[in-house]
Amino acid sequence: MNVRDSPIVAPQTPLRPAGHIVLDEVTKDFGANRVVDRVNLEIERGEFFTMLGPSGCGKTTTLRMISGLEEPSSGRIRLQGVDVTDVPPARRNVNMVFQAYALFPHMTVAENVAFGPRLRKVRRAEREQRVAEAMRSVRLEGLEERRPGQLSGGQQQRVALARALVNRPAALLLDEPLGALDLKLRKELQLELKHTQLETQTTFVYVTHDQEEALTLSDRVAVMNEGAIEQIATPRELYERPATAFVAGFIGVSNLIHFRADERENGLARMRFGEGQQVALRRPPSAGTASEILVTVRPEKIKLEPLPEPASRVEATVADVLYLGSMTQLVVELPNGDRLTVHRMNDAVDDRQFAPGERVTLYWAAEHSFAIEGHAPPVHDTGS
Amino acid sequence: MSDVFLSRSGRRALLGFFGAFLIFLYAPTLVLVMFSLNDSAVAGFPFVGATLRWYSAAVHEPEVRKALLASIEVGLATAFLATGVALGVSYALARRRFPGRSVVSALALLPLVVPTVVMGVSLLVLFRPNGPVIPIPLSLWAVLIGHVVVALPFCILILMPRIASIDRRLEEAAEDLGASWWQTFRLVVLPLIGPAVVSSLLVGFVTSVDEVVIASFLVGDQVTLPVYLYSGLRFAERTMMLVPVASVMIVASFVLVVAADLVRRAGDRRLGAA
Repeated sequence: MNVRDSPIVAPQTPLRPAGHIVLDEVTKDFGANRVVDRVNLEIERGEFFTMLGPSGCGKTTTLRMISGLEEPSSGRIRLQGVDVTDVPPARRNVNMVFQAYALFPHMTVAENVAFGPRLRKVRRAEREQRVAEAMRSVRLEGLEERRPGQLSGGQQQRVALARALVNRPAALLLDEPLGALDLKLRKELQLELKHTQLETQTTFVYVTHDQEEALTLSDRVAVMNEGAIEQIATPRELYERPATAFVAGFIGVSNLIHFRADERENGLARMRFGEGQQVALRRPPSAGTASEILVTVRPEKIKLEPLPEPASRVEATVADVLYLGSMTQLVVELPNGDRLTVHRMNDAVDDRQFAPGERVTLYWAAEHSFAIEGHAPPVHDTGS
Repeated sequence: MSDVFLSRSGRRALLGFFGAFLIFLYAPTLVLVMFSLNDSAVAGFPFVGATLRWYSAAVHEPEVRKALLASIEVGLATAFLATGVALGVSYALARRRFPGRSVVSALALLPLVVPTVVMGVSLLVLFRPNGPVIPIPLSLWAVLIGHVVVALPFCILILMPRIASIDRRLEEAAEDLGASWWQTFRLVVLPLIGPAVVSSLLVGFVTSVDEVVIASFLVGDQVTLPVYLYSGLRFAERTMMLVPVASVMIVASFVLVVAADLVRRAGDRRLGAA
């Protein structure tokens, strides 16, 4: 039975709308190798959802399981409320945009785009109209009779997008669709992609290893590491409140402090560093004061001027100075040996200069340091 | 160390070697074609004058025409059968991982190294008229089976690399867009290996039309052209009639091979922009 043709039965008023795409404990093993490890996801209709992670983290395999090109070793996948775990890709109402586009080289652009509707026996008149519409939506009019080999990388990317969108899929699955393009074109096409997504109101499931791309485009991002999801959140949350050390390091700079609460009061924990110096932490985890936890703070939140209480105030030694134009990046060492990156906008009137070995005092608001899970990555001794 | 391709004398020596190689390969053939036009009752020098009478004699010999027709029939059938089977085997070998894959690969290519005499004898034993193991009479059908076996490895060697070179994601994309396995094969794989399929058909045809050993074991009443030529050598009066037939075969084979290559290149160019 064709899933797409089956009537959509109105669900019996669920308490909350079921996710558009639901992954339930999805796991994939290649031999003894666990590539995707008990992934749970709920993607909403019309959402721009990104799976972000380093290569080999299982994001592409997860995407391929949603498309049906890969079969989960265990777990279930539901699409629009229907369990499609055992449905072949040809009968799932989702379409892939492949990393290298995978355009059919022996067909013209128009034939490529018409491939899906043709197989789905869409009548000729409607087919032509839909192809024209898809070509328009990716601004490729006039190139219908070209072959993929005669197009630029950016144009090929758009053909791949049109070829998928023309089927009006419930979701578009994009596997690093801009990965093969140079930086400038990439930025342009990022915006176009976002526009296309908003215009067509299609659910996009996007895979990338580029954190900036993920933050720019997505409504929500799932950060993956070693086959498992580390955190699912909006780009802002992900940056401002990373849940784990991995997320903190993968999105932005990893600023980790080994924190041991010396005193607690009114939901505030403090680690003392000698006279008048402290790292203040809002909403510390309820663990006993004795145990060490990891605390992170974003580099641009650290100031070199006093802030109102309660705030962290720590003296540190400048280890490294990098002039980056609009800002200066300092690497400083805390009394306990932890190293922090500090971003200081070059807008100060005093035009203060820094040199390695200099003593500075760091300040940041208590709410800007927060506890994260996980272990610190091995410390690199950048000093030697 | 100086490069032999760059030095003047080195290049000259290589060119000379290449010339000698060409003469060694093609002089006998050329001489044969010359003799077919020689107005002499023996195939040999001296060259007395040009004539087409041997061609005329061959065309008017009904046995030659029947043998030629038989060869073309078996050749065409071999081409399509071998290519069809090779497509299936090649696809499986290039795309699927299954137990015994290397065994299948080895078995499919084995006829390359088995002497055709051995093959001919074993097929003759299978099909022998008194008490056959497989009840197929010695005939063009039996020859066809033998020729498919001989042609198969060549066809596989032409088709398999082609199929393997197709980006697997093209097939995945087709599947993702709603194509069944068969539709994917027909609409994506087949067009992309089209030139190789043409090559395979031609090679299958030429292999069969050229083959004499197996054919001579298995023919029944109707002989194929090579078998006719071979057996005709025993009769002095027929010899001069065979020379033009052989000449035509040589030229035809040459034209076919060149045509196959042109088709392949045209196909490559068409996709080359990709």
